[in-house]
Amino acid sequence: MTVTEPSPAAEPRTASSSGVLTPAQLAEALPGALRKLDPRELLATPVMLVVEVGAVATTVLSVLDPSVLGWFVTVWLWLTVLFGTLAESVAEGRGKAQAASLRALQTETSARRRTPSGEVEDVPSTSLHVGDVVLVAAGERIPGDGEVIEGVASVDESAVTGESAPVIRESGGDRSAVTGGTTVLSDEIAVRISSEPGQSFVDRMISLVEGSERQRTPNELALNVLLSALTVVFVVVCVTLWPVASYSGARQSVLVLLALLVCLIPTTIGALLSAIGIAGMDRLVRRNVLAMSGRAVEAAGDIDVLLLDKTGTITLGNRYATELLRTDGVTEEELAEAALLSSLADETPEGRSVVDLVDGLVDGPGTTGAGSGGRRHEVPRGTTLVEFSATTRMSGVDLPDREIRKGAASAVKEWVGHGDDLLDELVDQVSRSGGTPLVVAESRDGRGRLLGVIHLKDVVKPGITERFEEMRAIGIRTVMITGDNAVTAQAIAKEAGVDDFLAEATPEDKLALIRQEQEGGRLVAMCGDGTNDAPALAQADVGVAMNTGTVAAKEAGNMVDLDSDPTKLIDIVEIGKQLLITRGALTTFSVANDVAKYFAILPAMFVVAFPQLDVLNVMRLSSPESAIVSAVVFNALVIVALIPLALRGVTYRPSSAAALLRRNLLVYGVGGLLAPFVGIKLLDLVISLVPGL
Amino acid sequence: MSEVLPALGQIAALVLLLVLTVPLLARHLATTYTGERHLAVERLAYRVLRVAPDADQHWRTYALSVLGFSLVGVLALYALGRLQQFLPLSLGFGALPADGAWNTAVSFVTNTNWQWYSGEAALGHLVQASGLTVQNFVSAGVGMSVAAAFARGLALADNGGRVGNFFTDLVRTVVRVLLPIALVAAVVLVLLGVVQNLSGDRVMDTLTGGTQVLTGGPVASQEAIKELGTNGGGFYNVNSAHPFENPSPLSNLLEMYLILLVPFAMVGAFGRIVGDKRQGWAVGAVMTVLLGAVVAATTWAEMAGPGSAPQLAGGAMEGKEVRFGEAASALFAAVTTGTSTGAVNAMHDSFTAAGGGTVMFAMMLGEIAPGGVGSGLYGMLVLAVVTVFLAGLMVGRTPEYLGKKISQREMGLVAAYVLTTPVLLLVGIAVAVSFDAGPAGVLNSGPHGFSEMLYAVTSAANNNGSAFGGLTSGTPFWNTLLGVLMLLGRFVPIVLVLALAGRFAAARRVPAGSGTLPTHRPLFVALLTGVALVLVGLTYVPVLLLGPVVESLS
Amino acid sequence: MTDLLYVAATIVAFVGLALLVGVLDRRERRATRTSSTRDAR
Repeated sequence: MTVTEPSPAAEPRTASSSGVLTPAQLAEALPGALRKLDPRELLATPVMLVVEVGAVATTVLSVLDPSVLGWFVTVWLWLTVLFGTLAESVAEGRGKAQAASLRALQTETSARRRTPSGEVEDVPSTSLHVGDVVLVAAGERIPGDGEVIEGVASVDESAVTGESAPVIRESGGDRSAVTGGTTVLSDEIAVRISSEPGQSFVDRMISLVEGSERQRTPNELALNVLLSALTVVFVVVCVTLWPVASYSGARQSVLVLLALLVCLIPTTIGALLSAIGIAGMDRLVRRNVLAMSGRAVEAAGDIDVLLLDKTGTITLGNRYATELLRTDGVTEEELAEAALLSSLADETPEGRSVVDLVDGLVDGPGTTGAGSGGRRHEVPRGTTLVEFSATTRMSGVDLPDREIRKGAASAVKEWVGHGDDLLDELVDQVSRSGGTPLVVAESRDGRGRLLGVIHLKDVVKPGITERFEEMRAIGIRTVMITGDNAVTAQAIAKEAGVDDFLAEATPEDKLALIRQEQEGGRLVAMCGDGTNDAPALAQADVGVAMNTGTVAAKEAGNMVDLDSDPTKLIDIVEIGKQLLITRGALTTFSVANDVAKYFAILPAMFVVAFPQLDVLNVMRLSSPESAIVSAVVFNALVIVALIPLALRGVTYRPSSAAALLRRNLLVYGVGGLLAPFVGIKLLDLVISLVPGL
Repeated sequence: MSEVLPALGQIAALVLLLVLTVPLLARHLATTYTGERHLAVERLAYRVLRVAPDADQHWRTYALSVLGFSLVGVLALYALGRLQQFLPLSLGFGALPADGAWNTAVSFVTNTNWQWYSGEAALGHLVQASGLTVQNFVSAGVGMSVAAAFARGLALADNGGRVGNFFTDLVRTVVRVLLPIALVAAVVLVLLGVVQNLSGDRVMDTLTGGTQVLTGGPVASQEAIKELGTNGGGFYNVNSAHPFENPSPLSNLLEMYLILLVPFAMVGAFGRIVGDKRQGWAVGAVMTVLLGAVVAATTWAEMAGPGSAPQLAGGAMEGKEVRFGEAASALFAAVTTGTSTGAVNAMHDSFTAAGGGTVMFAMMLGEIAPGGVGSGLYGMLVLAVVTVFLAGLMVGRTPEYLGKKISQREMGLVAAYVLTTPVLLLVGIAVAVSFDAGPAGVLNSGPHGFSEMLYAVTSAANNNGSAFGGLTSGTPFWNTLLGVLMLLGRFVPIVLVLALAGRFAAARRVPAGSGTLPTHRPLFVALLTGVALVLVGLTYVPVLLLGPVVESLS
Repeated sequence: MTDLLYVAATIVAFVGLALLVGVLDRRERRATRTSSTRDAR
């Protein structure tokens, strides 16, 4: 086995700080920010385009008719535009390092392609197409995304997921997907390529973390409409003020009107809008979630119903066998033997726990361990294993003389062909206690016989109940999806605190539930990993596929969780909300700021013609020129001051809509009303010292 | 302060009357706009108009119907004005000048009722009654129909954008609401001493031995619908300050009540139509708060405001009727500008600078406090959508109002709506001051003269129709400018609102969950009030500063 | 002559408003068409 160093790509994601702006970061972002001054780049943000046009105009005016005020305003208008592009550039920069290390994975390698006739040829990895089959041996890098069709191998996926422990990838089942750029550590596998060059998972990751091909999300577009309308209104206000002021005998210079315009249009939010979007995506990436579209991130904030698989999300994945319950006419040994045989080949923790339980019963208490350190049991010769499947909902073994099955009560009873009152009672008893009853039965010569029940105990994840309470507070209904019967499901649902559950769920049931919720106008999120989850993942408004899942699941979903942690769905919802809240809060702040700016600029503009307006100079700014410059400088500096907030997102605590609104209005509405009064006054104290103003 | 008690008393009486009757009318309005039944007289009207009353129109057809109907109205009124000399009952008045006839035609069709002329010295009974009074009914009906269509748009879902039938709405509004109430009101007004006859001028000998010409006419009937339909076009030039229109404090109270009745009842009807009465009252609460603020500010300005003359006299009595006094004049002014009525019982030009500023601000709010019949409701609802958008973002959900998501397209229409009036107003005032013909008609110089022009364009762009006075607006320049502002200020918003209604009607409804922001709570009421004030305030601060503010500080 | 001017201007204004209705309606139709063919996300 070749041991590879953990890839450097894992580094930046964990090491980078959370939204603090360092001078180094700024310096790094500066060239990008300057490039973004190109007016064509600004077309997407009309607010900033207006500022830039204003800056060009004041430059021309200042060249033609130089004055201290003119140059001051000109410089700060240019800085206003620059701070806006800087915010975007900083936001993008946070993904740059990660993108660079991901790019390293894409260096062209040669791949061993197997032709349909079975020959193996060396081709460059960039010429692989969908459907090609390549062989990858230990130590080699997998040349592209695909599905393992032969063999089993341990794979180092740290380059993509940041998780250094190798994972097993094998053909068939739900662990068959491999990602291009990851490295095979042992054995050899054949992989059928599933993506065209340039469209691989890593390619998408790069463009996501760089924010280069960021599509603007629906709410961002709607907000942009509102901001553009405000801009138009204030352009009209300033343009019409020119003749109106002249008529009133208070002729204004174009320079001052431009300064007023830039202060009034919502530059703060306009400058930070795209940075907020990029940072939102980035926050997801930091939690190892890749969203295939920004739309999905926003939809996550709107989710009404959360479908959560019980196993692994609500309960610790592993259930433990704690008890064997016999039915009439069955000896303890018979049941123990059947349970043991049916579980010997079952490598799941549940299966092993059955083996451990039986061992403990045989050897007496004290030798039992939750791990599988017990003795090895021999599988009798001539045994065929019957794997668990979602449709039969049973697993077991076929021995030469009999068949043994264990599984869900209804499925096993159907297999046996008859029921049993005592058994039903035992099943109920286990279910009511929140455990999972696993019915064991055998069949000899086509005659079925129910033996008893294995009591599997579910352990609810610590802390999950509180998470569900938070979800309820923000108005999200949680639905637990489980293959268990209704009684068991109810007991666990109650213990975990979910609002609803779907018991004995088949993939079709899941899909039907999603459709039903969507018909009612609700947005649904779910996660899944298996191929049979794919239709539901595609139907859900937010479908999070586990990275360990199949290619089909990953393609159906609109997000991929690299950690394969289903609980993260809750985080994703919160990130989606935080993204919207940050935009709303800064918009409110930006508009509220205008009030103070009016108080600074308008008296300054007209006080010469109407001395009585000095009453409105509530901040007691030292001179009209200083007042105008202070407002312009404040307007520019507030952008820089808010970059960290835009990148980090505003603090979000799950609570009711009204409570959230009250809090944010207080902080960003009232705060936005008051802050500029203080800020402009302080700036005025400094700026009034400048000679010539 | 013996003035204070009567001032509060008349407000209390007004509030009491409204509280008692608005819910009743609201219920009646809701059935009017959603009921299936047709009255016999309505069936007759549909047969004459050749419309199928049960065929719901797509918003586009609805909008084109509104436009077509109004175009016919403008052209007909224009013809009546230009051909007056050939018409019976003209009292010997000749044709109106072309620009004046056009201004008047647009003014009455847009529910503005800006009057550049003296009613008693320019128009005969036929034009007053068959032209202007008819438009008083139908222009109010158009506004209410559009508001009803908007409310239905919010109430409906997934229906492809059909919002109701314009002609059904219009006929029902006139037949079931405006005519009956106006009839009762006219009778009561006559009982209170308002004139109602068809006689011409009557020459009287006065006590001092001189003679005086008294013009009679169908005053009470026009007065009733003038107030009820928030029209405001008076029979006489001095409008409700004339003793024949408004003889006593009691008739004054009744007229204010009639002005406020339908705008508030429309809000209640809206709540019923969307199936949640609380939504209506929340919107009504915002209107009440705004109106209350305007009333308080104006009353303060007139009774105790700055200015040496009023303080010496103990109140600003200049230009006010002694029958009413400052308080009733201030209240009337706030009511008439808060709605888009424009009737006056005192000359706003003679108000203190601050008082003139507050009534101007009441109009600049966009006529939403409580606004014109219908237009006040849809104007406020558009602002509610803006508020919901901001609030929605702040709670982290795609914004929705009454279960309708607000996306880019809705915001586009809403933004265009919010833009329209400020742009018209500001461009209007800029044009007015830029040409010699604008300031030529101004009586005063300096900030007060500017206020006179600002008031005129504000009144026109917001379809209010009240005049500040002091501005001689009967010139081709002003008639044309104000006509354009009135026309665009009325119909561009209507088209946008109907488009929005169609979009809402076509959209699916999202059920409310506990994550949805409730839009009937005090928090939302406060936020909507704030948005209305800030959105408007920010736009008009500079022009207000150069007019009323500068003047009141001097 | 002036009469003609005012009448014509009125008609032009209303035709303009009708065109605005048409434009808004067309945009709406186009939007519904594209969103029905494109996946909701």
